[in-house]
Amino acid sequence: MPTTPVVYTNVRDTYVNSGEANKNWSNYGLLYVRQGGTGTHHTLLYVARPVPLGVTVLSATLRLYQWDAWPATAKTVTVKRITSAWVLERVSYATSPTVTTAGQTSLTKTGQPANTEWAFDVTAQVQAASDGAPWWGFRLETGDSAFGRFWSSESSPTFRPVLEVSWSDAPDAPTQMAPAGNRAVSIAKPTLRFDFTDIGGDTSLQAAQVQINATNVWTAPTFDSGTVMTSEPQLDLNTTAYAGLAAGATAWWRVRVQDGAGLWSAWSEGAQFRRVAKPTLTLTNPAASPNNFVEEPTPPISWTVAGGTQTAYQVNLVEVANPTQFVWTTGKVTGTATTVTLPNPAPGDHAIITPGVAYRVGVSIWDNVARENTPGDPIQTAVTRDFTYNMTNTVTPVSALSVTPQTPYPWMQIDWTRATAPDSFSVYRLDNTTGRGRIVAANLNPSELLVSGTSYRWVDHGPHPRRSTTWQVLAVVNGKTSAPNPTAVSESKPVGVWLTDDARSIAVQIIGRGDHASVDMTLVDQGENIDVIGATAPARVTQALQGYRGHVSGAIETTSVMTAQAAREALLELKRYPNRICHLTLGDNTLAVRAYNITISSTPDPEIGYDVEFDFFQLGAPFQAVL
Amino acid sequence: MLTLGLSAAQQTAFHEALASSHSIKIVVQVLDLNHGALDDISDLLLSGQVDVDMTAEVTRTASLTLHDPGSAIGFDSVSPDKAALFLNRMIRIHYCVHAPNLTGWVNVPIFTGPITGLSRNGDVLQVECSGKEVLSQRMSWNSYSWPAGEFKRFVASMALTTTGERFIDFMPLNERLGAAVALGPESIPWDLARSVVAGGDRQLFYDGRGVARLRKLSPTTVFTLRAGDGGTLTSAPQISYDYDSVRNTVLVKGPVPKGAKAPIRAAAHALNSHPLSSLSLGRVGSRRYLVEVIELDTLRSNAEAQTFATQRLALLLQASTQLQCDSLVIPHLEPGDVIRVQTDDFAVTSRLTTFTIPLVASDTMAIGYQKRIATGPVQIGTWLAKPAKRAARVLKPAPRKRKPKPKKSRTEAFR
Repeated sequence: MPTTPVVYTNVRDTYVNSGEANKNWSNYGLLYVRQGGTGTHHTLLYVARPVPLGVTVLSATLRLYQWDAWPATAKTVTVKRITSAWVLERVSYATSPTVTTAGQTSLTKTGQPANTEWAFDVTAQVQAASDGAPWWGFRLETGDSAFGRFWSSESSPTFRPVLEVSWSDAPDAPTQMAPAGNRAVSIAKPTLRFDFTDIGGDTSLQAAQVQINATNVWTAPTFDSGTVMTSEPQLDLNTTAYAGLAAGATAWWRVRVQDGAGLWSAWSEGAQFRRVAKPTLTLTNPAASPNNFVEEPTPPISWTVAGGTQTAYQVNLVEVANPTQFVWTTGKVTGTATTVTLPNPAPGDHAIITPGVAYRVGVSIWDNVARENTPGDPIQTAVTRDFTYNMTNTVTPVSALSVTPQTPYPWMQIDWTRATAPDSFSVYRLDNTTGRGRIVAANLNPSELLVSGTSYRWVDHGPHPRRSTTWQVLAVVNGKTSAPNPTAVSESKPVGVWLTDDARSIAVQIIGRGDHASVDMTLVDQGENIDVIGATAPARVTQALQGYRGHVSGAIETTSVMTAQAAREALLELKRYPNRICHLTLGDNTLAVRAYNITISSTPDPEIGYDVEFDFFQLGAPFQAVL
Repeated sequence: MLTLGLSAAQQTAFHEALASSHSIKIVVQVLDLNHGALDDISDLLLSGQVDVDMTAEVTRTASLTLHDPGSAIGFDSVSPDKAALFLNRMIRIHYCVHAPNLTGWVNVPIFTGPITGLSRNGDVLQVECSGKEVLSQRMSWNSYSWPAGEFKRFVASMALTTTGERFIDFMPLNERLGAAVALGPESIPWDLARSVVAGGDRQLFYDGRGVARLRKLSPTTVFTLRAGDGGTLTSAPQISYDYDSVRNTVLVKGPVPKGAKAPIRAAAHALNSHPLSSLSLGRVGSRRYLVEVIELDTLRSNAEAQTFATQRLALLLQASTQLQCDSLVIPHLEPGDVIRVQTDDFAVTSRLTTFTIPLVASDTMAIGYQKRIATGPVQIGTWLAKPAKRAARVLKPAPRKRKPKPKKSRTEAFR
């Protein structure tokens, strides 16, 4: 705004003449100034208040142009601010509005030709208008008895009166300040945050000044930053000479801001804060390097707290290679617990951690002190540690591992032996086509897997068919996992589509028959493209990236393992519990799904079987979103 | 605007993220009445909204539609499920934002308050929540009193403390009571707290964190809704001026001070040059006074009343402009904030009194009015159906009025 003045060309103007004191001259095309003679002439000009209230007027120039050549004698024209109302079509000398000499400005020229420009500096008068003084325009007058004539607003655009104004308004005093409210920070020199708002004139932040004092009385503050040049509404006290706030002490601070035009805001109100040390948080498991590893698939995460009272905690786990994506989190939990154990894998899911992968665990705790987040000093105390899941050769591994497809089912039967029963078994499955391996079962109770003697068996219901897959069975003793572990490679080749409820050992084979066989599936984004007015592209707001969703139709028939009628009963059993997690095996995929809208239609000949169809959606996304 | 502890650069990046493509996550937690987190039910959320109206008795309300198959959440407070939803439970909602230019998720608490209503339709649970004002909008049942001269700030916070409130954040306030104040057995603590700290430019409200905040209503613009690239405005702003809400004069009346003969009385008038002043709205020398009369028993002096009247008038003059528009969600806006709407055609500044934050990505934030966000279907088997494309407005904005063309005649009057 200051560098580009606003030019007002819509000036309304007329003049009044004491010689005909009751006449209105608003229809006359020229503007007159004259003193005495047959009549004193004053020119009146009006433009709607040209600047907002409360701004600083940097310059204001009123330009008029002579209509004719004036005599070769010095003529002084004075501009005064009108202070009372007037009506353009009715004003006359007798009803002339009042004026004030405050801020009046004069200009003197001698013998100028026609069309000479008269540029009056009316900054003071426009400033008064912005300060709230009455604003009804300008009056031009002269002390010379000779006529002075100007072009009026009805003349050509080149010579009509114009008012050029540039202004800037001071920024508002900051009101959003942090820290404030006597809330605590934990460091001696926090970063002070404040807001900067300047909606007129030069709206850029140029500088700030901060004062700190023990009380909210500012006659002699203990610290004054002076003018600090900054384009960001914050001040890191580490960059100043501030001595720092002692632990347990309280302080007040206030700030003012300066815009690019050099205008200072008023001082903010005082804001109070204090310094209280945060508790000391120590992560005990996983231990510090070089012992920063765990040796079981669902280890406890443990910590200790000293110097404060824990009221809530949160434990997060990320992969070091992808630190912005939580692998697992407790969320913020209110409580004083100092140990959290990673959960067992849910059916169809996998364990949180995998051997050989580098993880970063983060523990945050909150205490019972009212604190305020400031940059670099969050209200919670947090520690992180990188660790891996290691296995050890001090635990004897299993032997005689074998994997057998349970044809025609999509399952794999795993058999092994171990001379003594460990505390638990875990099963690791590696998809050789993708290179992705996970522990798919953890903390399995040996007594529940025992076949006889030293032989154990477990059925894996979730492998992807038609993919080369490697299995390992891990023995866990006293929180340590066996190594090296034998491996077995195999793959299942089921026919058709399988819908299974593993926990209840329900499995239904659906086959294609004629035009009744189809599988439709899509990956779903939950989001919306939202158009911003005037923007060249919409904003995409994404709320969730979901897994597969689709529809399966086909038939159930009598097979070597089940009659069509038994398959129908099994499907009805699946329908009876609509919210159970099932496995859907189709193509080279096995998905953990919820199946619904299960429909079974009879065919003319029940011996042939039944037509079936159902909808499903996958639980969890088959990929990891990158955020 | 709720401060989030971000640095200036982070705050700028956050605002840029809100105005461009980004991801959101709605975190819904079940709390006990002391803010203790009991469970996270975010995965059950089908749709919902947070409505804010600073003129209402309860500033914030939230509506959630949850998918709760098999009544897993439970209705009973003694349910073995720790996420039992009942009247001794609260809900906290975080609106979390992530974008490539942010180093992590920015979590904005937009609602904390007790559950006030539940209804079930099959597996779909409809949960209604109100701001924490409702916890102190009940009879005190016990008696308390504070003598004249006691700090107002202390009295108001104590009134809330009697209801068990521990989350209080009041601005510095050195004013003292002009007369003794009592909280009787049938008094409403929240009403007493509000009346004690009432001021022309003050606001006592519960913010999204569930903290009772007393703050000065700042005239500062905290956010500008812009059109075009980098903007957030998704519908053309509609400006309306309601004659009934226009006030150019505030008259404040107080009690008769001890030893004085006349009661406390003060008035504030809009400057003559203000377009809504009594002079500007008057006719031929006759001013038109549009007066708001306020009676306050806690005033101690005419000076205090004058300050109150002046501050109140400033707010009223600003509130005479009604702004309605839609925007990408700006979750950390608070009721009473001053926002600015700027398009190629015009700019207007307005105090934010009413807005709705959708809890689904498919809808936009309603500014200046409340709207009903499309809820998910309510029958099992179809609950995954996509929500309606666009929400229906509950409050239909006033129709835009065509500006009259300015007269070109030189007979135009300046008054």
